[in-house]
Amino acid sequence: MTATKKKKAQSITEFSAGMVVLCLILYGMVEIFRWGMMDLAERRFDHDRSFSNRTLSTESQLNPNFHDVRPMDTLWYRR
Amino acid sequence: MIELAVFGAVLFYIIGAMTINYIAGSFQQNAQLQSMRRAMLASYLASKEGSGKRSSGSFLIFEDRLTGEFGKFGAVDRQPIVASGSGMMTAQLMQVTDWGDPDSIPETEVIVNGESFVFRTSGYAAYVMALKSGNVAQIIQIDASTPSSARQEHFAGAYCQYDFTVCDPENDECGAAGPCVSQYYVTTQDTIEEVIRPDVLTCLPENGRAGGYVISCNPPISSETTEQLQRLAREWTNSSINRYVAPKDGVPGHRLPPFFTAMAANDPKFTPVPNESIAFNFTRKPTGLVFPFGSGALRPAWRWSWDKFWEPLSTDTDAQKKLNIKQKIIDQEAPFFSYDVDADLVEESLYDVKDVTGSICNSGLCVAAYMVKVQESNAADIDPTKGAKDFADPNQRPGIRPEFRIYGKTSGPDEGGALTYLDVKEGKLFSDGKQVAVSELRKNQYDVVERVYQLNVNMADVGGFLANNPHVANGCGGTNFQGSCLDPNTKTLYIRSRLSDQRGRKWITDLDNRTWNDSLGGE
Repeated sequence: MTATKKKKAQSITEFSAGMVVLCLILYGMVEIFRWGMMDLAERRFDHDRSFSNRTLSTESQLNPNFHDVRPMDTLWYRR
Repeated sequence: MIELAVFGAVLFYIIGAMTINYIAGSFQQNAQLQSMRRAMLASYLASKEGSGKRSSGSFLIFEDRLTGEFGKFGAVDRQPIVASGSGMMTAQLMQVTDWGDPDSIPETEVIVNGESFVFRTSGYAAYVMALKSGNVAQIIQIDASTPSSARQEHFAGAYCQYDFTVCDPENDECGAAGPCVSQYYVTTQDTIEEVIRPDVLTCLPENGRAGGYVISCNPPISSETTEQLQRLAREWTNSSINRYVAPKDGVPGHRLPPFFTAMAANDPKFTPVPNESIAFNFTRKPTGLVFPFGSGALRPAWRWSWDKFWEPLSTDTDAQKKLNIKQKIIDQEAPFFSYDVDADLVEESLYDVKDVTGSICNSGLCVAAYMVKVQESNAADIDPTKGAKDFADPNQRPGIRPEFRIYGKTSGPDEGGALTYLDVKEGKLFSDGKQVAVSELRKNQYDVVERVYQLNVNMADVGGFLANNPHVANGCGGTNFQGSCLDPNTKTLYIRSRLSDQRGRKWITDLDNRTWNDSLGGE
């Protein structure tokens, strides 16, 4: 095999491997976008569903921390 | 390959940007959902207690969250997240309110970085109102809590002299029937709102009307105040259409007169105001208000409330409380109606009118007077009816002010020593033992976020506000700066949130003894 053909083969191999990685990143990007948006949408559906869930008490239906995000790291000197 | 690497880097950048947006969106959505749920829950819990304070729950949430970013020091910027929500889940919507009952004062709540503040949006007030008829009319409004010795000063207090034309309210003819110019001396307290008298302002040069301008004031008022008077006067004139009652059920249409003038016109103790012949017809309930004047038609009660009679069915306290709530009878023809009693261009809920003639005297001269009990927004912690244009100083507008400061810590974590917080300004030099350049790119472990919330400058019950908010210090001097504090003079609330952030890591690439070749593994 000539040096030119070797170089061409290497280039094709590297490009293909790189392209596979790139496609995975592209796919990951689409998935992350989907996960993020679906998570927000489903959280809202979940909140709405809780209002009509008769197995829950009224206080539970209206629980403000039904889905909680990380609480604020807040300090007070007075309470 | 270079193209692929660049393209891959761009994709990673996009993934990072999407993640940052998602995190910010998640915080925002959580605050939105939480505010609405908090409002409904507060309304529900208050309803269970038989309280009308939160019949219409309202929450405002502020959170200063760290944001994701591409800087090498980790997240240092804070993104303000604001969400408001309101909701009702109550059986107390038509609850009777008794004058002076603290459980009937509506409240709203503001949560700043987890710290809660409760504001009353209405308050009770009692005024003594007196009018002396004759060539010189004096209309005085005195807080019922004012000592009688101080009340006398109002007779000799500041006044403005107006020149105006009395309108014919029935035919809505101002000046057309010929000028009947009078000079009215209106005693006032020292606020602009009380200088404005609607009976004076209904006849303005606007719309072809004659008269209605300030001639002089004692003590003199500034030109700026005069302009504000004229502006308020125009607003009053423009809104006068809302104070006209259309003909209905055989009752001719008429303009609503100022409350006190209306009372005076129907009371033999007073000389009726010229050209005002207006009939009144308050629907009077046996247990409701008793007005000192006769029948006629003013306006139907448009405020829902209940007649207040019920029998306690049990001696057990809790059971009785619940039963009492159920026993309250709905009565659409309620005794409480709204009227602009003190002529501040905002209607008050009128609870009681009592003849106190003889109690307002000066040098042996006593005038006819009434004590009026109202619920009004001007006595609240925050007055929702007021905007920036209502104040000469726009900073007095109730609500959150635009000022927003972040103080960062300049040295290491708190190890028992004094903490030093400095206003973070990009590139500014500070001296803290050694000279330190504060940069927004520096990672601070603590942030103090300060917001300024303006309360009602006419707020009457500072003690009540502090009792509702025990974590708020009274006064901002001394060590009170460390937390939220109220300046009782200006009625300004300084909200200071100390935010800890110990998760971030500062990544620093040491460039002193290395070269780019070293970094890349070169020889």
